[in-house]
Amino acid sequence: MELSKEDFQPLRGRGLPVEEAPPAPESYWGGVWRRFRSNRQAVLGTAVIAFMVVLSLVGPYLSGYTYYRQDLELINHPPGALYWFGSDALGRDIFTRICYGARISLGIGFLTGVLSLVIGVLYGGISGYAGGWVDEAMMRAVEVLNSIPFLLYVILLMVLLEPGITAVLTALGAVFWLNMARIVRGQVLALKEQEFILSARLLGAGTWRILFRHLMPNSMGPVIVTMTLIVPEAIFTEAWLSFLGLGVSAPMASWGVLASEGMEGLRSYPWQLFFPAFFISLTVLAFNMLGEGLRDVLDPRLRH
Amino acid sequence: MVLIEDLHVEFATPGGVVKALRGVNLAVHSGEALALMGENGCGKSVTARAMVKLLPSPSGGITGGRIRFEGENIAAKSDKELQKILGRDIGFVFQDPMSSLNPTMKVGAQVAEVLKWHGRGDIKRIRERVLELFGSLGITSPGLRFEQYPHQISGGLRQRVMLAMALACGPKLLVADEPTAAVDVTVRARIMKLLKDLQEKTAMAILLITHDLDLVADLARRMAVMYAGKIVESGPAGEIVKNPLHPYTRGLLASLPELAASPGKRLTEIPGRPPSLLNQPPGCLFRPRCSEAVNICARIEPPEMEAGKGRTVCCWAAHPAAAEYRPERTVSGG
Amino acid sequence: MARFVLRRIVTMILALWLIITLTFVIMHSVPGGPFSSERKAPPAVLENLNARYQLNDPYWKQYVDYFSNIARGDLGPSFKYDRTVNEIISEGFPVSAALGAVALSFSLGAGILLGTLAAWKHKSWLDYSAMLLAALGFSVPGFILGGLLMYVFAYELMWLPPAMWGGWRHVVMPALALSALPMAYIARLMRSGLLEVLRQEYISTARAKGLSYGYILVHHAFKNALLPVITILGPLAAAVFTGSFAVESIFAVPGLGRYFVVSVMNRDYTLILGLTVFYSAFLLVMNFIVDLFYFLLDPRIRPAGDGGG
Repeated sequence: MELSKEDFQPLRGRGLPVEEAPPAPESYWGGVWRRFRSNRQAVLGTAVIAFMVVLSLVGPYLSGYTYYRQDLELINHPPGALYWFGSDALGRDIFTRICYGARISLGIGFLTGVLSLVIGVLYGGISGYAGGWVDEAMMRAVEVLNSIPFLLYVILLMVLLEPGITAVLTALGAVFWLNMARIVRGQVLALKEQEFILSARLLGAGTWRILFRHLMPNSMGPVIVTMTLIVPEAIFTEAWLSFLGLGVSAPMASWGVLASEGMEGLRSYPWQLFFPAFFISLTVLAFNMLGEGLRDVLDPRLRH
Repeated sequence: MVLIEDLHVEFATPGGVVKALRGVNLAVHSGEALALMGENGCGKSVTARAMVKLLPSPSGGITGGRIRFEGENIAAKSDKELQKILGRDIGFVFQDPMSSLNPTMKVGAQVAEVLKWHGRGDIKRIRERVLELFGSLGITSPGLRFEQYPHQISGGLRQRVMLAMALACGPKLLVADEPTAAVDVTVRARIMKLLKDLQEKTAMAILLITHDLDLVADLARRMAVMYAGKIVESGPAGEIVKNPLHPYTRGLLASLPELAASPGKRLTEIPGRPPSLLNQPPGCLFRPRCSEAVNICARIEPPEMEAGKGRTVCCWAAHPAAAEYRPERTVSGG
Repeated sequence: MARFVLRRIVTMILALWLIITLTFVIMHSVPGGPFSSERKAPPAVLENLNARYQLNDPYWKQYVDYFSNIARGDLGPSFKYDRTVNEIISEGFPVSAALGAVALSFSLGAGILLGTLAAWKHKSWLDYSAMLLAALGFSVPGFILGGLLMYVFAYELMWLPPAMWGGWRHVVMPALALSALPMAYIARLMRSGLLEVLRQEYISTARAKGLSYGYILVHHAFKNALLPVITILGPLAAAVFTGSFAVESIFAVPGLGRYFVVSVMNRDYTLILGLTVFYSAFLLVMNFIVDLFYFLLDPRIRPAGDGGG
């Protein structure tokens, strides 16, 4: 190796060279979007859900049938060109009924998610932010409620209320917020102690401002994941209630009702079960995938 | 005893491949202790783990070099062959004594396990041996400790339990990552004495990873300083402390309280931070923090150079050409 | 120790009290229900109800009576049949319990096995297929799975009887339908638990001791990964028993679950409420036992004084 005198002259601008500036930090949501696009689970789940939503909106126009039109001469017709998914025991088009069922099942899923979000964020947020004995009492109450097998009470509520969407939403909303409240409280507690809250407080921000500008956005991740996972559980539970005869029936039927109707003619007309079963399972799978995917995408621990 | 040559270790991370070790050369001989020093993240612990193939799989792995233990290549050994050596011939003390113990297993059982696994007698004899070990490490009421769980004992006790585990089978080599970090002064003295005795009586070799210069002075004849995945200086411990050649060693020694506490010296910190091992710029990796850098330091990474008997250093300042070309030095500011 | 157990007992008692109060309130608020004036029950039943609930007493006295009856284990008469809820339970519950026990044991065994295999061969085809199976278990409701099983194994292949209750051949399909969801849950939890544990430093310690991979898995990782599985056994038992309402109806299993469904359809209010109280109490006690079991297994929550670890 040739070494010249020049090599051993002091480096220009020596002393302490400025460290290379780190790459501009990407915004939180920018990072979320980048990770989301590369997360196969989340993208696939979203695609399936989007497909279901579109199907529920435009499906009925494609088939040319209505969900209530009966054709008593063409009952229990197998799937084919006439009825894509076959017809049911009253000669109604199963494809069209599934599209309308999607509106109800997805609607119940989404609304239950939103309902538990509202209750859970209020309850958990207050509990976590207040702290002390208020927190202790509120969380003990959740603990007690959580130990109750609540699906039994969903049945009770459904027996009392007139079956229908309102009853189902009330019953499901009464149950699913518990988990959300605990998640929100945990987030609030973890964030409360962090420095940026302290600095916001030092800068004179009021309680409400801290709550909405700092606490809420920063605890979004687990809350969104929890909400995403409540949706399939609500769809699941509604299907199960439908089977017990407590679902959303007249005039439009949810997927659960369609499946339990299909159960009756299972031996001879199995498609009447297969199609609703397929749509329920695919949708629930998609939401679970989205939820699991979002967990990876939003987890701040993986941020770098 | 142990000879590490040109060891390379890489980790796959979401951000890219981290070159954690970039050609490490080390030797630890029987009856001798080698102290490995350096800032956190310089690769000390990775070196120790790589030696016995304990890197987190599948993200981390040895990508080059040789590790010889008693003449045999460890890297080429099967898991089964390695399992015979580990715990029996090589004892390992990990850095964090809390997370290094199984939380749902009594500490006595965790020590006894290594003896049982390597066939050191029946349950009664093993228990006696564990209690004896506990006693020699200054653990009071060993019978009680035997039955306790890790979370029920103090950090200092946990550290000694770890040591008991590593020493249980009378290893030929002890790898100890900060073995005295959590213990108080009297216990530290006791551990030092025990290790010294073992070194003399059984010719146990020790690879000591530590910031504790007293421990180094007492135990280790030789010392190696690591920076950014490489040994930047090695040689007899006394000489290095007295006359450090690498600017990083000087900075490191000045930052240690033991030395700085002596009159006339100030505790100083090395400015800047250790470099990221993700994308390395050309040249010496210490250059951005070095107050003595010359032009070549920015271009070519310095090779390992002989610097007197048994000493090596990786710094262009130690190159013969440096003395030749060096301009009249202004007294370095420090 | 005492504090932990005490807290669980207090929670359980509070929950039981809440359940009984809730059902009492519901009893009184149902229009056309047992205690409303416009009830339409057969005369024999009405007589029973009056004799039983003293409907002319003030509410607080009715509440105390209702409470003490339940505390004595007497759940009262059915609203539709001339039988007591206790009789119906003693007839149907053994069947449901047997089915539930089979389903739970199967989901535990299969779930733990799948989860362990998946974690052991992490990122291999074994892992991916186990997780695919779990994902399917998560997305097919039990009653639909029951229907599909029935179509395939009873109608098409004719291997198993489609309905009724008798030998083991009658248990297979309902038990499978019931255990899919808990199995999926346990498999996932076991896998993530094991992966988490295997990343811990104490596993490195165990490896540095020269222990073999299999030994470490069994003696160090398995137990610690099993702990989270145990915590969800209570909720899973609840899922199995509520799931059995639908599954028992499909397979015509003469268990308590089917009574529940029939009582819902008949609006047999006293039977629904009695069964709800019974199931709630049963599952609460199960939960409590599981908690005790957990507490025995995890030394970290055992010491008196500091509950944490």
